[in-house]
Amino acid sequence: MNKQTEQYFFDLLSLKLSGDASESQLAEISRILQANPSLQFLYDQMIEPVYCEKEAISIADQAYASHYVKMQLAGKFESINDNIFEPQVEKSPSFSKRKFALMGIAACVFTVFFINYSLLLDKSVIKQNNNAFVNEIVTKRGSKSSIKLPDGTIVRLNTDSRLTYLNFAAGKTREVTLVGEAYFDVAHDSSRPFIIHTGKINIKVLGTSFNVRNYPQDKESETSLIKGKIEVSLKSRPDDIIILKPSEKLIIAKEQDELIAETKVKSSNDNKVVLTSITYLRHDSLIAETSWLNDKLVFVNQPLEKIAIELERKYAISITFKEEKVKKYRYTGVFENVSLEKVFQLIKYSKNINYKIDDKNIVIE
Amino acid sequence: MNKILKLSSQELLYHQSKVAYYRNEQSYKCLFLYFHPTLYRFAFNILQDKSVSEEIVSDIMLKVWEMGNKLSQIQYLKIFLITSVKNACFTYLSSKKHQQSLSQSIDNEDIISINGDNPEQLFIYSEVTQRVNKVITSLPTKCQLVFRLIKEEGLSYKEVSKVLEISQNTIETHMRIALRKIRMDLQHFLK
Repeated sequence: MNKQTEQYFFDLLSLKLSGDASESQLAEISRILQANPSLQFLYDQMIEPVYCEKEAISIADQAYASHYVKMQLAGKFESINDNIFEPQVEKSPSFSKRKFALMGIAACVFTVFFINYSLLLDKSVIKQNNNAFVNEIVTKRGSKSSIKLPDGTIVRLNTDSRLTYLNFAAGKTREVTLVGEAYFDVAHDSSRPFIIHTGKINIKVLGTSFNVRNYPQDKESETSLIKGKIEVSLKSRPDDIIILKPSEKLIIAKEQDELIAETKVKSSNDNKVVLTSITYLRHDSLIAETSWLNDKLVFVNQPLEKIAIELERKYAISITFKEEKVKKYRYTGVFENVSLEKVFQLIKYSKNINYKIDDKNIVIE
Repeated sequence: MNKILKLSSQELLYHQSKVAYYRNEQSYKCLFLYFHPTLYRFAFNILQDKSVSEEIVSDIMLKVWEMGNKLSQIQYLKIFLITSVKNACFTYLSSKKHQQSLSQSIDNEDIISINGDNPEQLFIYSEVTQRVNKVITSLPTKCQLVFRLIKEEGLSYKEVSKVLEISQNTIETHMRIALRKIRMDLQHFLK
């Protein structure tokens, strides 16, 4: 085969690859191939696609998932009517079925527990409120509540939380106990301070709005102030008062071992109390801490372990990890009205994770 | 030609105008998924860096969204995107003041042999394809880009000449050089 034929063949092959070749040129190719079998091998190699489509699709999908988050964080995707992830109408009960939710709240509010007070509250409190009832409002996993207390304070209770309070009229203070997470919009009344007892801390307020988070399973309890002024004190150190200013967040590490906790309190470099500013998301007025109020889940560089706990609460499911290292994967993202399945698809896209959904149990491998 | 989402040129125009006029996120996703493989591979060929390539493609696609109505004025979106990626890559390279020029790094045997980090690795089927790929990688930059755009992305001569700003004759020459090199290498391999 001479060089001219070879060159001619190359030109034709290039045209074929580019999709520019005409019918007659394609016929020429097969003619040359028949006459020169040595070119067949090269031809076969060139015609065969280099890339595996399945791989390319999964890479493109992953890329889109992270691109989507980037667009959301940059505030580009704002159209509600045309969400890419086809939001399902699966909202939390308090939003989609308002009437039922309201009935539920009413039922909860009027559920009065005639339990021996000493089981629930400190003796000191009981002495002051001898004849008061204890009201308790409980939200289950997957549902939320909004409550108006007798003094006008509005409390939005996140899922899997419990708020107890005594009859306000009786006391000189308004005191509530919180387990879980809630957003408070406290009605102003300077003569009767509003006090929240939660885990290791007490929060004293006059009138303001803020978010308190103190789930038993969490390692830390958090208090984020949106506006106004609050005083926070640790139960172990009632004399030390920490005053929070707007946009500040107080994180207190809970220690399992009380002894360790006490020695740490005594030591000078106490690392149990952390004061940080509230996490804002770029280009968005949304504050991550209170995003749950708008039915959004926001994670800023959070390990999957923490996200899983959050998802368990929101979707009333249980999540188990098969591998330890998966727990440590970190994610940043916003989930807004997304179905549980979509959440896991997104998690799967950005890291190579497999999961199985079996009704209410999810196993992450 | 390997196309992920098989979209006809009419469908592409439809999605393009849906994004331009209606800010349709679904159409935007289609465009993203359709163009991503091509743009990503193209960027990677120039930069030899996964994350920077990803970043550049993402930035370009973000610009597409931001263009709004102007997007509809683009006649050949594919050429526009590949050209944008090309410019962004070269801007990146010059801003980074990469001492190694592209051709140097590509001629460098070490970089080619240590390509455990190379996403292409995933796609390679056989030893032969691997070999062919190595030859392609050893080609001079322009020649390599021309060859890949035509063979791997199925761009037409006209499209390539617009993207890389070279004449169709030059493309023909590049293709001849590439194919001859591959053929020589394969013959050697068969013996």
